[in-house]
Amino acid sequence: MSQTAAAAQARRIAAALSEILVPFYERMERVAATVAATPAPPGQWTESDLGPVQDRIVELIAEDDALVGMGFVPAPLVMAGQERAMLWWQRNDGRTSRLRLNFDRTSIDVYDYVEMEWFTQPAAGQARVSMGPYVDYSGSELYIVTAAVPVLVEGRFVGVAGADLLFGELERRLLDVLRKEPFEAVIVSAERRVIVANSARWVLGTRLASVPAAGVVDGDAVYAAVEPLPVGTGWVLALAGTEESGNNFG
Amino acid sequence: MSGLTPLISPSAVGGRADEVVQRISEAIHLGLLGDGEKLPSEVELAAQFGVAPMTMREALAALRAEGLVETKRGRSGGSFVRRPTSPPVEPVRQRLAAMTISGLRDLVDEHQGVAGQAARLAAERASASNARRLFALTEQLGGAPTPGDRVRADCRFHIEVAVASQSARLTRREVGLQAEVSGMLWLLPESAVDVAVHVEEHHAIAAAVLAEDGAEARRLAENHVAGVLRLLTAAHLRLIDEGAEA
Repeated sequence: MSQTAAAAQARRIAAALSEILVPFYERMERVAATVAATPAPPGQWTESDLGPVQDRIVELIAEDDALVGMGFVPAPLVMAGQERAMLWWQRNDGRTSRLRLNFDRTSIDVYDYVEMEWFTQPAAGQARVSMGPYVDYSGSELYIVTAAVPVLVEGRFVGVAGADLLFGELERRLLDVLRKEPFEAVIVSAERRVIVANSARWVLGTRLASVPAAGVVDGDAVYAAVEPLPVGTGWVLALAGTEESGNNFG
Repeated sequence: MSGLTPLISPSAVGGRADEVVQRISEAIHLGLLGDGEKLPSEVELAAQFGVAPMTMREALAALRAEGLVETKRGRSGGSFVRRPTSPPVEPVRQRLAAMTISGLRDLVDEHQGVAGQAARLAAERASASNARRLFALTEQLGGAPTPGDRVRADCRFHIEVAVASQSARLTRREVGLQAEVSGMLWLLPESAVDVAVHVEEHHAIAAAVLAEDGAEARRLAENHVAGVLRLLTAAHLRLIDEGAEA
């Protein structure tokens, strides 16, 4: 097989997959920009200061059926007098409602988001984050991907703009791209999790022993090419060829 | 990212208000609904449970009467969860006394299937944060001051294992099983649970998940559930003895 041909195919497909994800990040980035445009200084923000943010979230969440949750999650004490807060909306059967959680940190039920990866990774400087899919027993839908981007005010991290994406819907769109290809392909997340594949060779949700790398053998498959999705979430596309059908990359 | 409302209606309720009341009070006592959490609107809840809005209104009124839900009027109003410090014990005692030993064994057979498979898959699929949470919940059980806190910490551990398995169906099953088992185990002195042993077993399961050792995680989870059967059977026998003497 030609490694160069496989690499070119991988770049093309990874770009097509990215196009499915990018609009979600652009929406989150619009929420982030609306937050950042708040006139009052962070630390003194009130719910009413963030009125435009609320309007923006409620408007954007209705734009795509895969969006089941969307919001702004401030860093501690960015909201005046509130250690934890959440401006988060959920959509269920076409109805949008605000999510209210318990932030009492002494309680066993506490939802301490500052420890969640979708919060810590943007806080640590990653521009586009994608966690999951996971079973969100604390959410409005059961199997979701949580995506997030950092919100910066004059370079300072003040929280994340995020979205919950219904995984079944995301899977359908990603698979729509993959299933047209004549070779086996799999998307794997940074935590080695199988996101979606056009072959039953991989079990969705399973964590692979290692992140796929070009030329590496995995079972009876060889990864002919591995390409990060340009969207920048740490997801990679791997194309596999079997020993026999190794030259189908054109 | 939110409250635990989806899992309180895993299987359809029969359309009766008392069944809805039962589901929601279980969810509150198991800690699936957080203290102070705002419930969805009456209309949304009715849709979620598949009951008529009037039935939902009746159910909410009953929950208010039991003090489990508080309704506030006005702009920031709505129905909020109010969890009592201790769940009611007597109905749980009556339930365990009324069970048969074969029924208990069957309940635990099912639980072994669900918990064992969940643990195996969790070992293959858990994220780093799932694993961290399992250790945190294990520690929480060790330090839980009241029986009510133990119910919640134990139940959340098992649900977290199921969540880590990536299976929404196993998670729903685990929630339903916890609702049946957890109260009998932790609220009744007759069950005589040794918290330290329980904590040790949870710790071992968490460690097997972290080590990505599926076979070991399954074996440990099955043994753990088998231990629960022994405790509940013994407690049931004590209860029917007392009943016969009374």
